[in-house]
Amino acid sequence: MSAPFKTAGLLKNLMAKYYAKGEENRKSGIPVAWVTAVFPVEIIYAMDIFPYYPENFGALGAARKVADKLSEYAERRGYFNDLCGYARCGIGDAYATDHPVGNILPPDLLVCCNTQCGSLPKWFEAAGRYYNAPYFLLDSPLIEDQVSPLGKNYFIDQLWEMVDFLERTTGKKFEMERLVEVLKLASEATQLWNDCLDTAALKPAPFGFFDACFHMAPIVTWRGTQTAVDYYMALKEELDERVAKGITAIPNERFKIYFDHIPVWPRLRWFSDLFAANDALVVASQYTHSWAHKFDVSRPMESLAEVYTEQFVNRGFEYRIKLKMDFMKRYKCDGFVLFSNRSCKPNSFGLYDKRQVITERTGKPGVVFEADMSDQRFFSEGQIQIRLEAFFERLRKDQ
Amino acid sequence: MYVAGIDIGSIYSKAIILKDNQVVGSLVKRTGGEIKVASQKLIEEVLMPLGLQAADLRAAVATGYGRISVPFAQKQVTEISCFGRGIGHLFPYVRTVIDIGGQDSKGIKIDDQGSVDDFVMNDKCAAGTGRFLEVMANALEVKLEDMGLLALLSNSPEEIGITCTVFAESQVISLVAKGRPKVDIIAGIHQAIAERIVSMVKMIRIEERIAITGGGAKNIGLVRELEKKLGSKVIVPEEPQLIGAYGAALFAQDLARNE
Repeated sequence: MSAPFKTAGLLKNLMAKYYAKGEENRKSGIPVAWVTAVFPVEIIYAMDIFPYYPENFGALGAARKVADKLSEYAERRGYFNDLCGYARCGIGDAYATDHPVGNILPPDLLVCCNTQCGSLPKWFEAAGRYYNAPYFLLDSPLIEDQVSPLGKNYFIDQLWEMVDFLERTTGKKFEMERLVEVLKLASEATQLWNDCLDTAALKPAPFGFFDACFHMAPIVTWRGTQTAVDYYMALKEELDERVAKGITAIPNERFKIYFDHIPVWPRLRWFSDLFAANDALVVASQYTHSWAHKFDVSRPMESLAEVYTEQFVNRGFEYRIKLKMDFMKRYKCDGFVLFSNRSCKPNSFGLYDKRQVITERTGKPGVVFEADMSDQRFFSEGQIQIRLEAFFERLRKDQ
Repeated sequence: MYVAGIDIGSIYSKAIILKDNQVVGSLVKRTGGEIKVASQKLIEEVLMPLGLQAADLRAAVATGYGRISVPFAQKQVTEISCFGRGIGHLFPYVRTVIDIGGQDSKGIKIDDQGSVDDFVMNDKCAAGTGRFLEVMANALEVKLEDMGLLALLSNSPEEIGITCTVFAESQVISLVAKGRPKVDIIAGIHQAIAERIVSMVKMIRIEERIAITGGGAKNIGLVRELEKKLGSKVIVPEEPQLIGAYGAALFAQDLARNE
């Protein structure tokens, strides 16, 4: 990972404030809505509802290496350890007697979009029953390449239904003008985020995927607010400054690597050190690019429907291969690493075939390793290290 | 000029000493206890008949899962590269290496220099590895080295599911309890392991010719079963277990020459 960013201190402050704000808001009459990470949160912000991301809570527990402890509480209630690690963290914390990363914030209502996976709706349903809070599911049809007019209309109708649900359960009013403002802010932030990610294409680069994993929190949680825009302006400024001063992400960048998809949170440092020791910088991942989309503010609801149904996890095999290959081209990657994540079945599906096809089409070497994004019990260091080291040896052969 | 290749595997540790391209010493020992100490003992023992000590080596390269804990090695190379290099040196026409080690099995695609083009390994599960065979030999009260020959004696192998070593062991125990002939059980085990290994290696598109290495290659029953499933005769080097150490020694030779 790069030398500490000035912006990192800012981020820590902002995140601490955000977590504190949930309960404060509730007291002052602003309801807390659980939302999923890839969800039209812009509508939530436009209606002055406080969005809370239980997945972030899961990632926090994972990064602090306590996901397994929290999971045990869920497992005692019959939730199998093969389920999503974030869900096990969130469910576990609800039943836990100790809270190593603080308490998960109870919801007043829950809104969920299944464009990411089928596990989130089940987790939110269970949470809805547990917290006795109303729940709304935004159902995204699976698509191969582009969303069909029928699929888009289906999604837009649901967006209006959701607006109705939100108005009824919170008493807040939806206004289109306000949504347009939020979408403008969201687009501005996502554009800035995209610009930051793109600095990884420079050789040597000032910024890589492992840095992006740290700096992505605002684009997930605050897109649609001025806070996110300000944050990424500051980050971009700092990156420009680093480029000017020649400060690079790793000391001797020799290889650029594409990484799929979520990092192994409890081992982020281990991975980043291993890659750096082999002069390899991870420069792109579809994960950190999940929030690098753009809105057309002249067609708010359509644009929201397009952006959120066309997320990569919701698409077919060929599209996902093409997406990875496009990233590899855009970031001039020398090879790719695919993480078969026990927690995330929709993304791990077909990875071995994808690896084969990508190597055949690009001639670039790739490797698949298996672990869990949050749960250390599924991490076998020796097994993963040998795969990655053999991959690095293979990369060196090409140069 | 003496160089050493050390392969610290999960069950066995192997050493090869080369002098001017020739193998002048080799040793296979059970890996036991602390790797640092074990690797010191291994090198002392293999060098003793040559009247040498570790300090006399121009270079040493370590491989295997214990590669990072070999104090006298100047470099670590993965066993994937070492098995490729070793086989490529001995059999330059081989394109696919199937290595059956103690805790993992691998498929390695190599070029005519023995340099790795692609590879695949089993995931965190002992089914399809040397350790699995050991567990089964214990459950059947048969010597590990007899397993392969016994497998060849069966005419009607049992169906054994080996998605999990622990479950397979209890299945084997219940078959023994039902009085099924041991040779049929053993043959079934070999079929299942071979099936598992071949489907894994197919992920890297097998190209002929194929060599089998690692301790598993010493098992004739397994080799025959693999040949059946691959539809091809395979090459088994004289000392299949030592190929990783041999490849490491060749890398050590490069190091010494580039000094």
